Amino acid sequence: MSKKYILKPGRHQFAPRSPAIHTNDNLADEDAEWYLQKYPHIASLFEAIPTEEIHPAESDEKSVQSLKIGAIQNNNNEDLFTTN
Amino acid sequence: MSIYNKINAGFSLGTDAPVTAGIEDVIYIFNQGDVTLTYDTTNPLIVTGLTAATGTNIYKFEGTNNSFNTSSKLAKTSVGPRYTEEIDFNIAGFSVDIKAQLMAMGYGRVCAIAVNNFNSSDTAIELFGAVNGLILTDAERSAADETVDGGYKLKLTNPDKLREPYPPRAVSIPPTTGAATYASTIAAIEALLAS
Repeated sequence: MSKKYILKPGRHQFAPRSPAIHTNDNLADEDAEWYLQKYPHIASLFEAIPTEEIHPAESDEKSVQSLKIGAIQNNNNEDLFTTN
Repeated sequence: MSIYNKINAGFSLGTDAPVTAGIEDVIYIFNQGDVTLTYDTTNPLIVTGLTAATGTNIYKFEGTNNSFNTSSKLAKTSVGPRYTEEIDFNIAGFSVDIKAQLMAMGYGRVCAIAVNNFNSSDTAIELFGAVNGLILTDAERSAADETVDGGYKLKLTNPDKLREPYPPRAVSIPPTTGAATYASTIAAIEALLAS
């Protein structure tokens, strides 16, 4: 499974004065989630943070729209097929 | 640094970029507890990122006439080399607000970033107090002092019984894409200043 939380290159401190030990190689997604909750300012240290958890409503709407478009396209094809 | 006790390069004297003395008349100071540092993956002497906690900033102290100075000195100990650091600067002003800042620097630990006049180097911008911080150890004001015209003469140094395990770190912050430069580093530091 690919990582969802990707740290920028370098060895990062997550809390001031802590040793700089956090790298993308040693940070699991669960740990990243926990650290982000405790230290929100470290969000800028990440190259990628999953967005679906922040905006779940938007992604649902998109999936509904794409279903509708798909259904319309299917209907059109059926119509074309029958007319031909 | 797996092989930490073997040198692996020499130095050739050249005229392309002769070293020059002094630092610019600006010191960036921040509370040690406000900012997290990112280090280069392989070289702990290079800081590649500064991240300020929410609502915190870096503060800029400006001077004039090449009156600021930094120094670091190796101290030999039974457990290896350690480094003492000193930053001398002054404040060309006199107010309650200045006194409050000086008191805070005497109680809390800060880190300081200095910009060398010799800026064609990968360590032109240096961070002091990266591990143990600095505190204000001298804050002297002599009202009739002609050299600073009644301003404060200040000195930041390592807290008592503490030294740094490394020489001052080079601050080298890359832009969004590409390699770090003097300009990209200064821009990244300035972006953290209080607006």
